[in-house]
Amino acid sequence: MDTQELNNIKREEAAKKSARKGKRLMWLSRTPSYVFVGIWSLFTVFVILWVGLSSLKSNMQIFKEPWMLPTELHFENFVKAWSVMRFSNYFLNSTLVVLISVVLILVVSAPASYVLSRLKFRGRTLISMIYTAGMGIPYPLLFIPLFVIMASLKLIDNLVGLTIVYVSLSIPFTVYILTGFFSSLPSELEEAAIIDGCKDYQVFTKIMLPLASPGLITAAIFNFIGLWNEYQLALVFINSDENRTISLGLYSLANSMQYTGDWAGLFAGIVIIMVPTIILYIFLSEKMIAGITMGASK
Amino acid sequence: MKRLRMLILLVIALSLTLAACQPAAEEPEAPAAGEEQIVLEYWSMWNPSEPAALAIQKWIDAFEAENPNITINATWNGRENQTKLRSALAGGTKVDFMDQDADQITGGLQKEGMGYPLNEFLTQQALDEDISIADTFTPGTLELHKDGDTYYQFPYMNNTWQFWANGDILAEAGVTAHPQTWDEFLAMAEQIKDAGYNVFAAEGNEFSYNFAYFTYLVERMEGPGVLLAAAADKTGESWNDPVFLKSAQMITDLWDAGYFPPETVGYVWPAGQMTLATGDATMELCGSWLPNELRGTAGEDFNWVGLKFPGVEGGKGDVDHLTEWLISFMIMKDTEYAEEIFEFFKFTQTKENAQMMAIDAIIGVTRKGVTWPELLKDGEEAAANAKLALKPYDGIQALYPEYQEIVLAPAFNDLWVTTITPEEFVERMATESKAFWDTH
Amino acid sequence: MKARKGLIILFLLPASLLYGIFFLLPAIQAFRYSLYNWSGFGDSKVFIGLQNYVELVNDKVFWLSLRNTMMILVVGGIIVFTLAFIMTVALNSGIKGKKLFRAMIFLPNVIATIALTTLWAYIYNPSFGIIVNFAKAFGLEKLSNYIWTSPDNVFWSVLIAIIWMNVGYYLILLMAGVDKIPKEFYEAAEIEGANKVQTFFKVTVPLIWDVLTIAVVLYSIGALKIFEFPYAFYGISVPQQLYTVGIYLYIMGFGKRYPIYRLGYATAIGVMLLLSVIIVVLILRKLMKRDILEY
Repeated sequence: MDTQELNNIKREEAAKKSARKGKRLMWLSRTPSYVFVGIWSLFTVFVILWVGLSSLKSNMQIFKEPWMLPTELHFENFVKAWSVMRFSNYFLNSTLVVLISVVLILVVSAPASYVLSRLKFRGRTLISMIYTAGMGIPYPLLFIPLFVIMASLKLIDNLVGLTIVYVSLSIPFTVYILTGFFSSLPSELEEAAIIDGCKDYQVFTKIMLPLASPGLITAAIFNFIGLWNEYQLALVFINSDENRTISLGLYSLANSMQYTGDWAGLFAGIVIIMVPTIILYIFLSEKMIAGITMGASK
Repeated sequence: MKRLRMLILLVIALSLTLAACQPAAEEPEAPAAGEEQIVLEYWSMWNPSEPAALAIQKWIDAFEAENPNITINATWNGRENQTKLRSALAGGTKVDFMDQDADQITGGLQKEGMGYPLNEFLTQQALDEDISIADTFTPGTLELHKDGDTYYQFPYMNNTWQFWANGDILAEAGVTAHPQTWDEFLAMAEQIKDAGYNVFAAEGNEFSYNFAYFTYLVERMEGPGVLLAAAADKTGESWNDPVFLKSAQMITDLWDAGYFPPETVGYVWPAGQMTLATGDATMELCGSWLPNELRGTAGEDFNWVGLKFPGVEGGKGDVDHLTEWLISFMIMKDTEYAEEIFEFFKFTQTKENAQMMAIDAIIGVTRKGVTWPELLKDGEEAAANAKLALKPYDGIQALYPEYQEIVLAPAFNDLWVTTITPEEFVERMATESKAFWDTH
Repeated sequence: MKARKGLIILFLLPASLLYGIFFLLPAIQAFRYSLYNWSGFGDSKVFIGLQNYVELVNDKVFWLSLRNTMMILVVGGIIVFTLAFIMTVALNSGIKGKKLFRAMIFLPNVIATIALTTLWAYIYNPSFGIIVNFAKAFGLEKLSNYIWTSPDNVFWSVLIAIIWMNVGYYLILLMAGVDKIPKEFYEAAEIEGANKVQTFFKVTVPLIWDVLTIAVVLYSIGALKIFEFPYAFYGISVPQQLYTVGIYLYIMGFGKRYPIYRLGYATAIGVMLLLSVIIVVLILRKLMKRDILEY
């Protein structure tokens, strides 16, 4: 009997043993797991429900009975947030800016990531490092100098300007994620493609891009969530009401509590801003996670 | 390849075209034929749907109707208005006038010399009365934030700092007269406590609210400017003045007497003030925006009473010295239309227009003789009878904001929740003030 | 693979142009501001060389905010990854609804911070908070008297909330790595007689070392730059107990509520922040460098 066989037998025995033991101990051994992740998950769900229920309460009930169910449903909080506080407008602006930004981010970052992860040329490491460095730069540093640049381009208080800022500032993180995906793809594919007569750019468009699509989806979702909730840059670059994004609207709403005290309205605003990301997440979380799985193990 | 090239071209084309069509969108409306149309850019600290913004928009609409050659273009930036203005100025954006909390303007644009002096304008006659515009203001409000002899700010809102109290609890506890002295005040606190209520509502770590106790106490004993002078003292020795120890001690005594419920140390705004709204606590020292802020929670029939901060026996201050948190307009130095803007200011300061603001935004105003909303009636009375207007934080926030944030606030926060004794507080202020000024 | 220069340039150009013009250029310009005494208003700029940095080194508050940031980085990091690992093991122990649990644990990451800060303020509220109510209901006097948001405790309470938010994110990264480990490795470990703990340290951790490295680097960058949550948590003004470097930068340069306008100094803080990111990342790379195990 050589080692190989011995190992196989050992393995089978072990498997049988563990199956027996497993059945017996299954519930016992899994209970702590269930309890642990169960409590944690329940807590999160509770959080979402609490925010949702609070948005249907009156101001008085929010503070007097924060942990009770709403005694009557105040849908007018939503009407107020949606029309009086003009969240409908903001919602539209955000949808437009964020969707276009996400597409553009991928359009510019994917080719760059491909080149940086799969092609060999002088200066590649340096360029990669410069891109990565962007992740460490705190945004407040950029407020004034970037404002001057945008002002000279006449792109202040303008959704196009905000889109350009969003795209540019999202590049480092996106490139970081996408290079991970591209380098996890097997190199045989490219070689085979070249042998088959593919031109170099076709290798990217026809082979690498489709293969990296889980990565693109992941990057898209991360960017969507991030930009949807982004308000600091919007605060700097947007002035007029008609150009506000929804997170900026929410931020202003929270900031005006000292004069208005309308907490019910604030909660309604929070729910309005939360819904799209949660829906998106419910539908796409598996794809996003699948994408991470692929890229993370480069 | 085609697809890719298309994509890249698309990006470049998109950025270019979008950049190119931009200026068109920003061009001002065509001037009316024959007459030169003046467009005034106004940047505001209000958010577009806030009652104050809506009231200002009413002012603007009415003013434009009377002055068809003037258009006021309001940009509702929200609270970070002045900070946004800084970036905008760096980027060459033209703004004609703005508004912000008076303190912030004093420490910001005014300090930077970016305001337009109003002295000459202020001698003009008011639009609705035979007095100068300067005389339309409630006592002290116009002068409060002047720079030397120069006026840069035109305050249009007034938030008075008082104890905002639940009148029903006061009545139930048998408090009949408003306390005028500290001893009367302590007696009142005892009465309320005996009636089974928490006396004071406060946040645990909210320096911007809690420090008003200290500012008022120092003022009541030694008059205004003493605290500011101590803050400015580079040696830090002024903090050894007994008035500071005494004031700190008086605050600690309130805690020791149990007038603040022990949970107070953990209240994160707005948790503390909500105990006032829900009827668990009796009063809070705060600006007069508080009754309106709590209206939704406390209910419309809440009986609001505004108590003046009591005097201290034998002190230089007075129960009628009132801290007033103003909100001001300011004309930007570089505007071409200072006169037109001031016409607008004058317009907002008529009784009728100020009255509209007071009612619509449920807020105090600076125009004399205007009736404030019912829940702020004690604020109106206090402002009208103020013998002296006091700056919030004795002016420290405007002149030495960094000192306040770095040295004063942390030390006071510790004193507030009684983690340090009054002696330790004064000692720490003396040493840390010196250390701060050594490096600044 | 060999490729044409033209292709490389063409592919890199759009991203590099945008990144260069709208991110790097202003960042470099900002660094120049750190050599000036400047409020940010008008032309009041005065060149002072490295004085801002000298001041910064002697600035107690800067060190305090750096210490807080490091606490979030180190203490928070250790707890986040420990919890993420425990959950990875728990979710891989063959329980039902693994994907659902995983998705729910990640959920806080998609919610606007302001919603989360408001919620946690309610959870911790000393009079009607959920913890207090819970403790009272079960007669846990010590717990019900504990004031989570008092100045002494508020940093740790906020850290707990930050950990809660982050665990899901890193759980997903780690699980992604673990899911790729071939089953045979575990079987082999069992044959060798390894227990669960040994298997975890001898098999799982080494095999996902590269994923772990990425995750730790990402967490570190996020922790060093942290701003939003502690800033929004405390109502109106931020107490020093919650200062992070990012918050200190913002307060010095942009004085939200107070007219502190020291743009030059704030920029110097930003440069230090970037430096600390670089240093931490380099240290982590060095510490975590190992031969990647291929399988």
